[in-house]
Amino acid sequence: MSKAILMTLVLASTFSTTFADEPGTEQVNKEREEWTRRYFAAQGTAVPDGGVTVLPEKQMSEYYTFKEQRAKSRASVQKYGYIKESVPDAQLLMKVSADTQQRRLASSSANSTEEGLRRSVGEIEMAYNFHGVPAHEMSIDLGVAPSVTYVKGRGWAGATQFFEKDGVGTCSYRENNLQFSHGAAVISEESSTKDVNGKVTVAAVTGQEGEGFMYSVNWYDNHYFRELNCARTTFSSATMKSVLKLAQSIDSHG
Amino acid sequence: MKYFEKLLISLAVAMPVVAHAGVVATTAHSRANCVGFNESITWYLGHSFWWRVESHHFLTVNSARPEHVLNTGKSYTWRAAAYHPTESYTGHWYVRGYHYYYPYGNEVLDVTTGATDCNIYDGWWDH
Repeated sequence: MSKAILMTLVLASTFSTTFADEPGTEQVNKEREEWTRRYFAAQGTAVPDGGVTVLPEKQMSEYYTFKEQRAKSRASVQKYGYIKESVPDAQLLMKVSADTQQRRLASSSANSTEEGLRRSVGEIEMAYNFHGVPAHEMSIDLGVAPSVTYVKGRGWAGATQFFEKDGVGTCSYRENNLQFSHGAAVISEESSTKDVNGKVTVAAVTGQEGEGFMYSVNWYDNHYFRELNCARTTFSSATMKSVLKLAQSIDSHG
Repeated sequence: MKYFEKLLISLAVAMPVVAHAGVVATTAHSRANCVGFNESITWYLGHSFWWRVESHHFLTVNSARPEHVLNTGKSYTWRAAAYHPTESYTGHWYVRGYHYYYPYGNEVLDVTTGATDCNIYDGWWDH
């Protein structure tokens, strides 16, 4: 058994709680969980409730699948300062802002639920107290949508918030509560830092001139996976610093 | 009767496309005993990611090991569905879904899902 698999099993048992809503008898649930953890660990993949593991990328099960893509991205960052690649999501995110604001201007009732966006998280049946983006970090609050999954009898395990921030762009923030999602992550040592308050962080800018750029910060701890994306039309390293600062603020708030 | 069954299945398959949650953000679900199919699915309309879904299908809620495992493999898609047609007529299946996401080549088990019914109305929209 490799060191990585062993570490994953140890982590899984450390953070283990019963998977959400297991319907069998206590004994069966226990056996099933044990079997599942061993099954995924044997594959070398992330194990439910396995916490966050940082590994040299050569030890990751997906190393060969993404090897070429990683090399290409690194070369691009060295040359341009960002991953030069078309990112339709940046344009779509900017469109969420334009569409939502236009709809609100057109509607006196200001009800945006027909698009799945809610005005506030209070309109969503959440399984926990969603932390979200501090109000002072938003120039315009565009709304929030349920995300991750709905746990029967409990509520949503996460939500995605949309907002504008002056000087940064149009942003989305997704929060995934591991107590209900039972997620786990295996992150490469080479792609990660501890930029967000000492937590495992992966930050990148992807885009192309004329199409738009996405500034992304994903950060992970043993309770939440968080993802912040901000879209704008131009690239600047100063914007990336602002997005990182915003991520730090969101993390401190939660 | 067969026509009615086919209609029900078509409606059930089509539901994710009209449901709200996955229109504005990534969501994941499992469904079991859906008059002829079991599935686990991750989706976000119009937004593609590197995803993989494994769906473990247990004969009953008291089966400790799955009868079989469906794996979509990794693909860049807006909808990763481990879908098993012609299964679940007995109505006793338990389905667990493991929804993997690969941002920047890292591996994130984003969420695990479980279902003993075709829970279209349990949180697929308006919760």
